[in-house]
Amino acid sequence: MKPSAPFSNNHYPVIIIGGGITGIGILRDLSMRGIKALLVEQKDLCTGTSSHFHGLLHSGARYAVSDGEAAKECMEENLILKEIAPHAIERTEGFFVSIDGDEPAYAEKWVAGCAKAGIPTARVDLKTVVNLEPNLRGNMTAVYRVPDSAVDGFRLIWQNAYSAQSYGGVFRTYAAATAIHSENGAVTGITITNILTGESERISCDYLVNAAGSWVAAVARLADIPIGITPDRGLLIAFNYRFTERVINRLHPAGDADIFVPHGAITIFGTTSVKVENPADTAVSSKEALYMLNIGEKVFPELKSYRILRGFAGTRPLFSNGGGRDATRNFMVMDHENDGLKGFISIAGGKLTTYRLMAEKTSDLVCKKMGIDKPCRTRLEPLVKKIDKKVYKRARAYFPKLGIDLSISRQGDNFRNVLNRIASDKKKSALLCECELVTRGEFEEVLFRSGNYPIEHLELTLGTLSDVRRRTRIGMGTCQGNFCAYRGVGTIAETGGVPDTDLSLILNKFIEERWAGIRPLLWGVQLKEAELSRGIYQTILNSAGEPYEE
Amino acid sequence: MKSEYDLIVVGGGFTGLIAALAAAESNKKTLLITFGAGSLAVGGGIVDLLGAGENNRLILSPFEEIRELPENHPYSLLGLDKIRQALAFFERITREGGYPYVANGDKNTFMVTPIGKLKPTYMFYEGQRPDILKESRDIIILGVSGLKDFFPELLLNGLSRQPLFKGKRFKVITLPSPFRKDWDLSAFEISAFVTRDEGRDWFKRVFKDNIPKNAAVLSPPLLGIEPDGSLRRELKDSYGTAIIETATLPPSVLGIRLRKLLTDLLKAKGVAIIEAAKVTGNEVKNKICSALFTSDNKRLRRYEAKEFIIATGGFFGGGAVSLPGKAHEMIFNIDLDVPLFQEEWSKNKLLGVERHPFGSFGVKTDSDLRAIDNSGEIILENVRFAGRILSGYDFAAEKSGNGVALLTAYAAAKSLNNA
Repeated sequence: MKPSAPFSNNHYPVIIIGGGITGIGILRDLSMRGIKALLVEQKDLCTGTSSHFHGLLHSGARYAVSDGEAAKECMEENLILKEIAPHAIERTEGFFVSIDGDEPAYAEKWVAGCAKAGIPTARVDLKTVVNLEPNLRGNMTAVYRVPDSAVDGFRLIWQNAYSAQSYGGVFRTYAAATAIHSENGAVTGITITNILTGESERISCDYLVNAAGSWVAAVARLADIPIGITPDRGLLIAFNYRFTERVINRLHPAGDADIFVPHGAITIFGTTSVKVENPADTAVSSKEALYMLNIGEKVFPELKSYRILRGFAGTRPLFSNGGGRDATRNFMVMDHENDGLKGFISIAGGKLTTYRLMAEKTSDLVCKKMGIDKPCRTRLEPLVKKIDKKVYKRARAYFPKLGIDLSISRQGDNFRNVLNRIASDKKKSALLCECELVTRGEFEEVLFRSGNYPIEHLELTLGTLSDVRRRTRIGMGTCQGNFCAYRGVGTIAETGGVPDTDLSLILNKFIEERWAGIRPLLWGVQLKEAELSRGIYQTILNSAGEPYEE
Repeated sequence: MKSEYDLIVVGGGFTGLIAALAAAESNKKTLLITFGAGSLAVGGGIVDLLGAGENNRLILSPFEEIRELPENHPYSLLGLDKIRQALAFFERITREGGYPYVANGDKNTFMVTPIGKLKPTYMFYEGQRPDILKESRDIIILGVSGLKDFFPELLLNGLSRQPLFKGKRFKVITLPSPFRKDWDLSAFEISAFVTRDEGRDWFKRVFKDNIPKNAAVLSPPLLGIEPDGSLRRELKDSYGTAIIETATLPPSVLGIRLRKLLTDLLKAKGVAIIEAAKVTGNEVKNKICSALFTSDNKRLRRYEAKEFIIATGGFFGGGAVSLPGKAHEMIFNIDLDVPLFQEEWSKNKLLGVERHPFGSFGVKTDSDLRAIDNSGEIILENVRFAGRILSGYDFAAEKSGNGVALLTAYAAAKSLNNA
């Protein structure tokens, strides 16, 4: 057991690198076991793979034939997360659908595989299917129901993060790990560089956990340790229409463009599998999108007529010798003491559905090394404490029920603070984002909440609105920021944020970020909306206009 | 239903309204068919002639720059003389309508936007001359308690960065809400209130109580939704105060006033208007269009005319339809020249300096505004196109939207047979 140095701002017993679901899950787990940990993340929380995926809470059925172990783990975690994270999950259930041309023999293997993995399935007759899902009109041959669900990565991460904080966990964003320090074959600390200011600082630690997802290999390289991670890029398309009530999977060997997941008023459709060099390669191409749409319309014949909100891509961190769909999505906890560096652990591979289990295994190893005998409790306690009936009743005076539920699902326990802001000034109940029902009060609460979003960042980051977006979902609905981005900077100006910052820069950056996902899909309603955006931003606001001098 | 019209104008936005007015002046029996509301309620109720050149360079003297435009630009196609005639026409009819639009000689005028940037325009309602802002040392920025889409501090954030406003002193004054509700209000609903006697009285009262005399005031559009300058004049006469209203996000009060001005003029001229009617078919033989069809759930209607002006807008207005790798004009299915790969339709930045190819996709025409194919052959003899459906210009990057609309609508109407 290693003696730990006295705690100070520059020393933590454990540092976790990576602010995606795995890293945050580990932060919560360790914090709940009474271990002081710091998480550092190079951008904002939930900007990597955790926010670039289908949002599917797997039942595991998708892996029933190819990877029985993974399937079983998914099913177990699926049930656990539904218990502890109900505010981040929509219990939609799912259908596996085979169409003309899909091998019937596969269906048999699949049913057997699900049974073995403990995944309940039930065949549904086609007439019933058509009544339940009127848009599902491909030439179906068999349909089975499974307990797949939809999960929101942002909500899940933020709820884990707030829970971790309540147990003493600390996280810092825009802090990239740029060096790993060691002495006599043991980790002593890291250097983090503030990517906004360029300033660096050293923080010492006893144990270092590398949970950097697609960047796991890049981080391990800082310690000269090779890890075989294959970033694999997948495209996702978000439609501005909830055209399916359930998760829909094709019942065939896992292939491209065979998953549809509803989220609120939208549907996410994916995906593809392209090996890439760079974990940050999230390019969207029209060719890939059209390829996906051609496959998808076999299941949903009207697919090409539905309005697309945007396309986006994520890289999966596949731990493999090969790559692509053959690479295992299962995870591995690596103790780099075996590579000659004590105190350094990496967790690689895996999928969001099993994050809690991945965090548990990693935290167990950390505790073992620290000689601490505390069991994992993450499955026992909900992420968000139950909202008091009185609080709910009080909220009804200010917003409609749907608005309250959505706000609670986004802000969890902090909803109380949102409500207090609104109760003290009714103006704050006005909707800043009509598409996602985000009030001024919620926006301001997120903007000013000390500890996780320091207002001083406004001077440094032009990504301000995007940081708020990830915590509230503004700009992610129908208008893609046309109205709420403007209201957002207006609110920042009004609340006396930072008089020295040119707020039009923040506004423009937000609009450009949304544009990146729309460009490759610029046709139909998407193009119409882009012209409206240009009308507003270039002829009404002239937001990118240069100052005029005579 | 059969009807004999000299002219059918399709589209009731700025372009269509101008075309119908110009044709009616030439004694053409005119019918206007319109489906949506066009972009008047989105725009700022002004006429941008040419505000920005290459690299988003701001233009002070549009007529000089117009000379340098490529030959496929509608301004080049129709020529400076036509442009001057169209502007003169617009000045005359708005004066007739009691809400005159003016220009600052041959120069652009810079209007303050809701975020405190400056945006060049050419013609604007005469009560909106922003000279007073230049001349005053002190400027009041007006807000109303609970106004959700206007932020005085945001305007100040931008304006304080403009060299033209250096050294000025700004003060934010917030008027109380006229309603019991003082949150989630729009400029439109306040303006609609002020249009009524009760609202006008309220405004005069709070103005007197809160705004010093002889002030220069920048405000959101609150002075009513009608094209009526009387309240503004009254405030000037009584208190010596000048009010400049900024544009806002849709619904745009300034745009709505302009629309009312033009539709009232049209009705006065006896032009028939059919609303909520979408053209779904056409009858063409030997390059002559004899009729257009509209249809709703109930029936198919046929409208005959000798000539047609199509002012249906672009991708936003619905006059142009786009798909992956393809685009066409909505009524006659004229193919638009577009790249096969979607990435080639646009540039990396939405608001950047590089011009988007899609910004100028549209129907190519001869100098009579009749559609031509790639070999220069006229496609339809008696159909003219005007406004955003035309190719060769970019309303947003150039800041030329209503200028092109005005010119091409006027020119199309005047180039009709015996016009």
